[in-house]
Amino acid sequence: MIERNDRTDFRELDPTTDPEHFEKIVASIMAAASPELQARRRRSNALGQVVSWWRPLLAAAALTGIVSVAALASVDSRAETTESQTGIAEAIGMPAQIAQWVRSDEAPDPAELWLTLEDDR
Amino acid sequence: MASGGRSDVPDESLVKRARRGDAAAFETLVRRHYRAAYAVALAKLGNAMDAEDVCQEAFIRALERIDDPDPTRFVAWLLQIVRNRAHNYRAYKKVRETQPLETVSAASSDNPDRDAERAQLRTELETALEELSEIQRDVVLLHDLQGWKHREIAETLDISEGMSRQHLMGARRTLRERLGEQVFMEYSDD
Repeated sequence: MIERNDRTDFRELDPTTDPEHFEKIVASIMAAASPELQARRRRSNALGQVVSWWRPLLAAAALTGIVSVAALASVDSRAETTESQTGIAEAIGMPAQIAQWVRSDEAPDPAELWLTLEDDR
Repeated sequence: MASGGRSDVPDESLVKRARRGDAAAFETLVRRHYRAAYAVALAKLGNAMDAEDVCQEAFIRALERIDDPDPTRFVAWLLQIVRNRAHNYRAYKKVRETQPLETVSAASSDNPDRDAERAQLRTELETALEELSEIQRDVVLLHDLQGWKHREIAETLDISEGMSRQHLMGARRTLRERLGEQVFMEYSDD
């Protein structure tokens, strides 16, 4: 059997062939869709406002964070320097005179060393 | 996927805009995909008026859930909604209040003889479609009414292109037996 290749003519069933009819269908769908579209627009606008507020807020927060970190880092480094000048040798019980020799990187005179150790005893 | 809309803007972009409540974008989607949706609904229900009602419900449902789909796969997702709606149609005729399309479809004209003739042809087409299997109706309506290629039909219905061609041939054979040559017109196949 030879198969014909002709298209079935469904124009009578096709609602888009009559432009007036199709426009009414589209208008009907759009009317029914209107409340949902409005609700979506409202949500979208509200979200947009929050986003527009958040951008400068985030920028300000980031700037504050950077300034705070920089300030803390500066305070910390100064504190570390001071502590190292006064403290570690004394903190482990080393006599002050010896600690000073250690920091100054100078070798003590043997007599001075003897006297210091004697005083410390 | 085929598009019958008047705009060249891709579905993906229209879906994203419709999510934000852009009425023009949603309307373009309706115009572009109405006929495919209608073809699927008609294949399920066999009645033009019922198919129009189901399409309207399906488009509204699609808008309500438009955040769900992959925007690039919108039409396949829409047609699944149409199928589900058509399947449940008899269980719930009206889920939401919409303008009844009966008044739209029952438009009168100045030529009652021609109207009667067209109504008769519509009834004959609907009756002949009822004799096809559901998959045959899907294929012949998507191909001959919507104008899709076999590749697109196969993708949407999850069948092979060969099966799509086979169903189309079977459907046309039955329709020709029932309706004669009057409902066939020449065209160049894909």
